[in-house]
Amino acid sequence: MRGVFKMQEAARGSRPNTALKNHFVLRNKIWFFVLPSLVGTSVFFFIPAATMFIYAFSNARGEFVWFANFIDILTNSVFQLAASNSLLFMAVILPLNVVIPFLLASAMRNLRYKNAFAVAFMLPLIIPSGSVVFFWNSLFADNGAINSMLFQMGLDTVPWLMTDWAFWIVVLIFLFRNIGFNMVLFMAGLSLIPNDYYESVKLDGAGAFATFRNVTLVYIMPTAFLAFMMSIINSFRIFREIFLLFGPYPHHSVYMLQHFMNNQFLFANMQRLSVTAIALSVGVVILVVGVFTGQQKLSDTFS
Amino acid sequence: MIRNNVFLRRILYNARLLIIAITAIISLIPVAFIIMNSFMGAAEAAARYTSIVTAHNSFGVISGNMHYINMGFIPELISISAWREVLVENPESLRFMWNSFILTVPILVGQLVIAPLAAYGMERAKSKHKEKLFFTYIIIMLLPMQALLVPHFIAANMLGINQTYLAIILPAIFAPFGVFLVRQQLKGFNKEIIEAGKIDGANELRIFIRLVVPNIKPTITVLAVLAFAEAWNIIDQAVVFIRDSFALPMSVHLSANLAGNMGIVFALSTLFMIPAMIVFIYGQDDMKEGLGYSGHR
Repeated sequence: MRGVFKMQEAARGSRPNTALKNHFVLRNKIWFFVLPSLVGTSVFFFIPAATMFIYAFSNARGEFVWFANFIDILTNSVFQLAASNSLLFMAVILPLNVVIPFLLASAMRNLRYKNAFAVAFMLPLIIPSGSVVFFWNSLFADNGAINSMLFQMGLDTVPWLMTDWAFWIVVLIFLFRNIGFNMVLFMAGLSLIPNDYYESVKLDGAGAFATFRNVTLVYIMPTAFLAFMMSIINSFRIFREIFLLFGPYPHHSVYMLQHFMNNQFLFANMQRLSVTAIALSVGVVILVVGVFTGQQKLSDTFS
Repeated sequence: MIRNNVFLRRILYNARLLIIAITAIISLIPVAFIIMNSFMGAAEAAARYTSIVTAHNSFGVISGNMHYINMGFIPELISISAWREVLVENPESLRFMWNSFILTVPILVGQLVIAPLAAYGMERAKSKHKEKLFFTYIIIMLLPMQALLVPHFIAANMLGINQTYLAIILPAIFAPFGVFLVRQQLKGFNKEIIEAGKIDGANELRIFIRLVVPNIKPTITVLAVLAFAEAWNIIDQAVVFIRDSFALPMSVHLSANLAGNMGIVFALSTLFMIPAMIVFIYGQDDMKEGLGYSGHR
């Protein structure tokens, strides 16, 4: 494709109005397409992000304080609780939200009605969180359906939402909402692996496991990476369900970084907000770059 | 050996079908529960779902003063009283639906115009720096909403639009996810179509509208469905930017103000999911292609 563009340029160069054609604005006119997005992103992200750094390194009177704000936040026990909860949550859901959809998508190979199933699986992501929050509440509330069952069987009831179980309930709600979409991604990814690859390893006499390891796993890696990225994006969106189910001050096992920030917004504490946002962003960048390099290493070892 | 055993293969196939069917049914349960319960009379809903013991539910499962929720899919008496209450007798809650519409429509339209344009521009540009810009977009896309809300908050204060819908709408229009999604699709786009357009003397904008957009329509549909679901479900931004409780979108209103009103909570929840479902069902065929799962064997 590069070659085509070069030929185009050469052809253009030979025309008489070369000077006009090579004018900077005309040469870069394709950037006008990007301009609206670029302006918007600058106004709502790049410029205020720069301001954010000024806040992060200064105190309320505007004096430069080096890393004092960062130390203040990192040693704050509420922040530590929120950060460790968020990390634990991601550590639990990220692998699950890639492996389970992959297994389900594999189980769907050659299945009848699979497109109809795919629609059912995607539905939970489309339904607004507010609409189904009452369902979860009816299940897990103190007087909810699960406790009702326990009570009728003569067992002790559990205040699910006010114990450490809250964390696992949130994990369940997350997986419920997000497994389907990743599954559809995996269905697409699996369908892109040419049948010839399977045929050729079969001819080599490879067993089921070797086929899986040498063909499926290698070629599904890009999809797995995409599913992983989608899981990161969606993992932060779990705040909605937690907020709707527990309100602004949930049980301490589901008090996430988002709650910490949300409460800082109430006080409009720009220093704390900026520092937390920067810390969070650095964390995400490290995670993504780490996974990306890991993914490439993994594909290299397998192939 | 197993491979040739027809009987075992059939069992395996049916086991897979069963697992998938059960999982699919589980995914539909909450939605079905909400919709079915919206056709329950107010008295029955109150009897089933309140925690206090009343004359109507004293025959239920009770421990001390607490009445256990009696979840059910099929109302004993089918009634449209909840719907009449929501739509005719007390239509105040419809205001919150309207709030959600006012927020969602501009976000959707804005994203659908700006994201494909930017994606196409980035794909066609020849600058070395475009990949750096694209990488920045990906990072922004991966950040949690609360981290993005800080710059959005600063920008809203600078522009003097804090406490207005614009503070939510404008940043959402420039969400980078659409640019990412469409550009991924354009990478596999047949460049010869563009070259053919050029030879015919069409300018870039004409090529984009006439040749590129129709060919990436499935991807744009995926973007539209996801962007709609996302904007319709706005909670975090509204909590930060909107203090006036009458200006809240339905998503926040549903949980914040309805905890006590069992009679209409199901009807309102159902009403609220209908637009998202319509968009989803309408986009079904295109999504099959856009997400690429139709080719799944």
